[in-house]
Amino acid sequence: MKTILFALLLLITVSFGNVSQKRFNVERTPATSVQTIAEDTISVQVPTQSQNSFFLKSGAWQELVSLQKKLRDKLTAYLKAMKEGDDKVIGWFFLICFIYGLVHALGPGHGKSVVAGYFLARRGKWWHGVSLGFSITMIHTMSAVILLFVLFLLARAMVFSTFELSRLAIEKGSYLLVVLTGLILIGASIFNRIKIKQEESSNSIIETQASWKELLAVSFITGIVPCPAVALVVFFCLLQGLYGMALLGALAIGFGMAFTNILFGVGTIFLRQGIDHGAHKIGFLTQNMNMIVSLCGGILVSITGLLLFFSVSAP
Amino acid sequence: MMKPIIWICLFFSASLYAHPHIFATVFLSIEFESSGEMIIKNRWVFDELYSAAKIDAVDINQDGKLSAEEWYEIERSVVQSAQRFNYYNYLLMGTQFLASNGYKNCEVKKEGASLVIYFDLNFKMKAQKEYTILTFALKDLSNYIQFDLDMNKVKVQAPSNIEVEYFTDVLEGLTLFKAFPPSTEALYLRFRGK
Repeated sequence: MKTILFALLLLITVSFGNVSQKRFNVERTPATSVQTIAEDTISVQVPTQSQNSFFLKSGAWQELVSLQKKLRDKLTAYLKAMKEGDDKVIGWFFLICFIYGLVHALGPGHGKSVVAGYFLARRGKWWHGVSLGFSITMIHTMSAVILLFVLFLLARAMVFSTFELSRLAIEKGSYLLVVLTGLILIGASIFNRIKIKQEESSNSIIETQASWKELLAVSFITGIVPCPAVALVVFFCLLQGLYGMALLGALAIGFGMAFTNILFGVGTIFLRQGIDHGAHKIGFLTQNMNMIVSLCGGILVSITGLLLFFSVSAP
Repeated sequence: MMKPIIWICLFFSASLYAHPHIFATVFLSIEFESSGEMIIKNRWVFDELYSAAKIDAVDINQDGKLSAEEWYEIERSVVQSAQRFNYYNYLLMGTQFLASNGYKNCEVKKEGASLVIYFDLNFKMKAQKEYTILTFALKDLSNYIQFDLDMNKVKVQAPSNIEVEYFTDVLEGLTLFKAFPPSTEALYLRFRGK
């Protein structure tokens, strides 16, 4: 009797009137003209770029996105608890901020491609990777904090909309500068190769070392775009009256993002060292290989800048 | 030698498409009218962090309460501005993505700590004797808003003169949806008049 009742209940739940949840053969259903079915048909333009990359296809990115959502919900809960005087969650709040930053930086616009591209184009030591990864992220984080604090003090009622407008303008400028940085790196690698050829000293080593001056310039150009994720957390803290937490939470997120960027920077430096070592070992036209890798780095930086620029400029 | 470089480039180019900063949980119900018209009822529940920022942003006089004009500002900036993307509701019939005839019954409110937006999208259609197949997916292709939608929970209703069958599956392999991540869940429907 129970089984019959359950089956009846299931039937009622699954189908409503003439509606049934059932798999049908899509290919065997004859196609009918859209015009005969849809009245006043206006079609929607859907972007044609493919997202069939192995990364998105694997579902790993969707997992990361879901994780970010869960972490952000936790952050919100901790902030609300702190607002109500629960100080026990402070440690957890900073830990979640750090993890959130670490995961969030895997998304675009946080400097990974530029860091990796730069260290493909320029030989560096591990501390160069740490410096560039850290400085890009700190500028990226603090630009959001400063912009938000200033707007909050000056134009409380317009904070969010003004932040979004300012961010968009800074983003466009910054991404164009990233394109320019990539072009300079491409130009420099071609120029160096020509110079070596002219001097007919094919055995000499091309000096393509990272310099502190360049690191500082790249950090500023890439990092100046304020991070919207940091901004939202800071803004939420300010709305709750948790001013200190706004700053400290942003710093914890910044450290998390820096960890990811440093990992990419140092990883690319070791990759570049491996490529140099391999090319030298097999005696494969060391200078040509050096130019190819440097070009790849410059191209990666330029393409990153271009894609980011178009992603914010799309109508 | 070049393989590691290519893998690095592929990794970065993939992540360039995905950058969610706003999260919204979506609840949908699809209703067919006896004329064949299809209505997709959207309910978007935004995450608390964004909700707090958005509500505060439109509270121009900062009195903590939103007036009708201030609620409308949210409708304008969130729903109206999404018109060019068909409100992120992509409905494929044959080889065409159908545009809705605007949105109706929009309601913006605060439920608990979340900003919630209700609206209906109407698609004028005629039910034929033969089945018509529709494929539906909801996604912000710029990935700025991450919509969380469980297609298995979508309610589908139809009057007695229309027969509807549906199932859920991913979009993988559908060339017309190549702009979507292949793992995106979609609703496959077919309907006909009796």
